[in-house]
Amino acid sequence: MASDQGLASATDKQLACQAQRGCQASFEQLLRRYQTPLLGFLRRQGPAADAEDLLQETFLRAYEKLDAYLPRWAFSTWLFTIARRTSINHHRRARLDAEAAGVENAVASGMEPIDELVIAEDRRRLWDVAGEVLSEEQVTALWLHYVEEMPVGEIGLVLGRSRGSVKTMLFRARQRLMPILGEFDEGGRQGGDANAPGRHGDKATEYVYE
Amino acid sequence: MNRNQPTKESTLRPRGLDPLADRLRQEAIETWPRFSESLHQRVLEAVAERRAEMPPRSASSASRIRRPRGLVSLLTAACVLCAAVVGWRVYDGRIRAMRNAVIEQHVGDFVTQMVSHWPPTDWAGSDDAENGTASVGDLICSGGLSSQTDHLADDARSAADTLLRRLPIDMELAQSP
Repeated sequence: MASDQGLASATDKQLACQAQRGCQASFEQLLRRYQTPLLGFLRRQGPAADAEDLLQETFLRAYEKLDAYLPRWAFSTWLFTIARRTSINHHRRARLDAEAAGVENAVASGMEPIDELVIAEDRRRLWDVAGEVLSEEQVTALWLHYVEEMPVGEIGLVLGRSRGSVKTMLFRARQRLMPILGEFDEGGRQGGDANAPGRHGDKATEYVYE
Repeated sequence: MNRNQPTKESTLRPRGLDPLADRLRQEAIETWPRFSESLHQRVLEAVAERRAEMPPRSASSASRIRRPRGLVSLLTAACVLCAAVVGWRVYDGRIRAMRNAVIEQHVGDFVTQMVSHWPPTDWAGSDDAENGTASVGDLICSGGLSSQTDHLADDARSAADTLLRRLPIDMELAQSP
């Protein structure tokens, strides 16, 4: 249908403005566009089992607050801000509930040193380690920067931080992950070639953020 | 960033310049969720339920809420400030008018009192002498009249000082040479 083609070619801002005027099809198109980016993001924020519920909650909140969206913001920035806050609130409540119920943190009790985990488990992912050694803000900044390719200024809006603060956050996150990346590569490629990525401990200082 | 395509492979291709970024992007691709129509329908149903609970969204309500709140607050504050200034000016004007009326009344009473007491009784008594001219001459020579006029001058000075202290500044300035 022509209208479907129009919706598919419309920008996020156009769709959001139409949805503000009551166009349900525009909001549905936004749901379709942002399902997988938000789901991937929310899986990095906490247990993957909660991600779908958090996705639904994020879209519900976005729908409720749609009138508050201003076209001068990127819609993705606005939506990821809602998603992050929803996720933080959810996981904080879950943690408090667990503490109140006296449930021991099974992950913490069974934790092995990170270095051993990195070397021993080849299938382990760098993002998992990042989630353990970095703060929630740093992981979010890394995800938005490298996966969503969001500009530093917009990451600052999502995190409620200045551009300089986000740059520092990304720099420190890279500094922390670079040695771990080297161990990942050594563990996965014993006796690998000299050009193999991973021996780049000083790359954190060379990277320039846009 | 083109979000029309749900797949991420086209935009997150490793570029070989930054190994950490490449690794993070590669892992993101490997774990990238697939678009789920059932999840989409589930979210749509939840939104529809929420929509039923909310008042209908319309263009007018959207534009009304999107009106810049800062500007409205600024205009409200300006209106309140203007009302306060106007009210203060009106109140101050009435107070000044009442004070001027009281001062005029006091000045009028003072002048009336001064006129009614003129000439002084001592001086009138000296006029009763049969040889009035000589008596007045004696009075001047003896300094009796001088002391009476000095007394009146002192009264006038003190009255003027009192009056000046009561006068508003603008009236005082207008009267000064």
